[in-house]
Amino acid sequence: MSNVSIGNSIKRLIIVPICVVFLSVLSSSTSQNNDFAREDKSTIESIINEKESINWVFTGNSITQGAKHTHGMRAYPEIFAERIRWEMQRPYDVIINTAISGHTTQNIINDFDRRVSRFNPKVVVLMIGTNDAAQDRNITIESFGNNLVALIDRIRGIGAIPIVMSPNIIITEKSPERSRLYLYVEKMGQVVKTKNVIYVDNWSIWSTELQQKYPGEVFKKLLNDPLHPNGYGHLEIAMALFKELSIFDLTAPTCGAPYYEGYH
Amino acid sequence: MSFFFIFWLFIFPSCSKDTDGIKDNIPDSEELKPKISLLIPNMAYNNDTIKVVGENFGSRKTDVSLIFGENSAKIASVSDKLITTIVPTGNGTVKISVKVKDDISNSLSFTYRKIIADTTADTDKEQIEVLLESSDPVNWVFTGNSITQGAKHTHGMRPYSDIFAERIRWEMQRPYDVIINTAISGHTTQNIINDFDRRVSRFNPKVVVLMIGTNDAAEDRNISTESFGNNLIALIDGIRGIGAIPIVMSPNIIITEKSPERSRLYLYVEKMGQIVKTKNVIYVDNWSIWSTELQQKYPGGVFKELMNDPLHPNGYGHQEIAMALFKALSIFDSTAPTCGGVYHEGNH
Repeated sequence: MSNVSIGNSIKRLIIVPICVVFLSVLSSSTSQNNDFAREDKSTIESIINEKESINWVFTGNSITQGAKHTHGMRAYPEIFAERIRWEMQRPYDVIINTAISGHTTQNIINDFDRRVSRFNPKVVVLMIGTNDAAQDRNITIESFGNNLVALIDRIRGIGAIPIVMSPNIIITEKSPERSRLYLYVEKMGQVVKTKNVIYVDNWSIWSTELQQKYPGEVFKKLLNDPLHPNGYGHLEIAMALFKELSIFDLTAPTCGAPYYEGYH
Repeated sequence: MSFFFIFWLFIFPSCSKDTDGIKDNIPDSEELKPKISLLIPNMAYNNDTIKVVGENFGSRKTDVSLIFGENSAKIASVSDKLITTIVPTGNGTVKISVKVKDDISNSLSFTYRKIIADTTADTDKEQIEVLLESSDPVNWVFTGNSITQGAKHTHGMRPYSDIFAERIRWEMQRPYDVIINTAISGHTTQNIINDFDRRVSRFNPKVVVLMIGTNDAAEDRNISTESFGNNLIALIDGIRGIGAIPIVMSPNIIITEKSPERSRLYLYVEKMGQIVKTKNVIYVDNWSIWSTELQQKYPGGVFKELMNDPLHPNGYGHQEIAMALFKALSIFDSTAPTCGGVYHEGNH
């Protein structure tokens, strides 16, 4: 618990001044995160501190699958596996990726048993929405919200902790069929708040923090097409997840520190 | 090929006659140089006996050497127009040439037959083919030590099990397949035997990929080659026992001078080779691939290009391991990005 509040104080110290200067929107979402899903966060913290190994399931669409766009680099669930299994020395933890390219909330509801339950996970990470928002899927914002609620409830129903991640921003001019994605993200923000779920708001991070880190170049540096993060985009998503779970460590290679190179 | 050779044999004597005429009996050193014209056969297994037909070989065994790629072959007999030789260890297609004293002949291509591909584990390979053609999803478990775990050394690149996941789940469009990695840094065959249920059985896999040995061979582990062999057998039997197909992979080569505590690793690999043969198991022999094919692909640069320390492959080393696995399972496609093809880059 003390770690959490120290972490949160540091977060406030760093983030709040930036928010005040740049974006009042970010400041509201940050203060929201501080009290947000506190119980889940401390449960995850104690899971990580305990010896007992757990299964983590990652599911979603092509982004979480890491299909096609990373040029041989690790996708964010794979970076997470390196962080947990190697860097944090929890080698008996198992990270399972059941995300599938093209899929929506509806697909994951239909496949819930084979893609989530059967692996008996303690934590389920769900990044979803980019396909739900595509016009030809005919999933209304309302249905999307209901599906999200259903998924969160089912994850809780099997005794696991849900972590919801919003999609990264997309190049709307090149994917006009998904131009309403921002409304799905807005809905997601409401649902996670109501359901008190750990939320990694990639959409907001890519719209604010990363715009400052890569001025005018977020799409160029972090995407591989109008929708999909490249390997560096995945690194950003992984780091956002680490920060939300208070397992971010600037000196670790999965968090952006230099990679080890031995004699060879 | 043989037609061309016969044609060439007819042409060749007339050419040399012309040359003699022009040079008017001045001794021609070209004429005395060894030449090879035919390998019988030009495809064979390691340790097979083949015949090298040609001329100017002399008759003294001690004057003659035969080079397969970069390896010298043992010579059984020599006459002026025929050498009988034993095929040395190797892989793929290599050039053969004859050296008589200081003169080196032309070279001809020779192809190694793949013992594993041709004669062993056929049933398992067919079964995997069936699994891949069926629409039923498969769980694949990868286990082993730090190499399979992909810990520390890939600089953000995918280790081979993740590359395999991309090949199967994305490129081969089997998205419901699940790839589970339970490899753990520092572990030996003994650790995996102890943990078999939690690391293998409970995931109900149809295929289990096991790359192991680098730690077993470390002196301080006190695992004899005999015990290592027995452990491998136990693991193979355990995997078969849960109805899964085992795939065994030998370790990559290591920088022995920098890891003298593992200098006996080659003996563990030798033992592994014997066991996979006896147990008729699919075998991806990284050790041999890194010792031969990859030496040709990266002449003098295998350690520099493919490792990140004396023991561990870097991301490119993992790519080679993944590709070797794809080849063993006949799912290698040189146009696919996981097999060295060009990565897609969209508009962004």
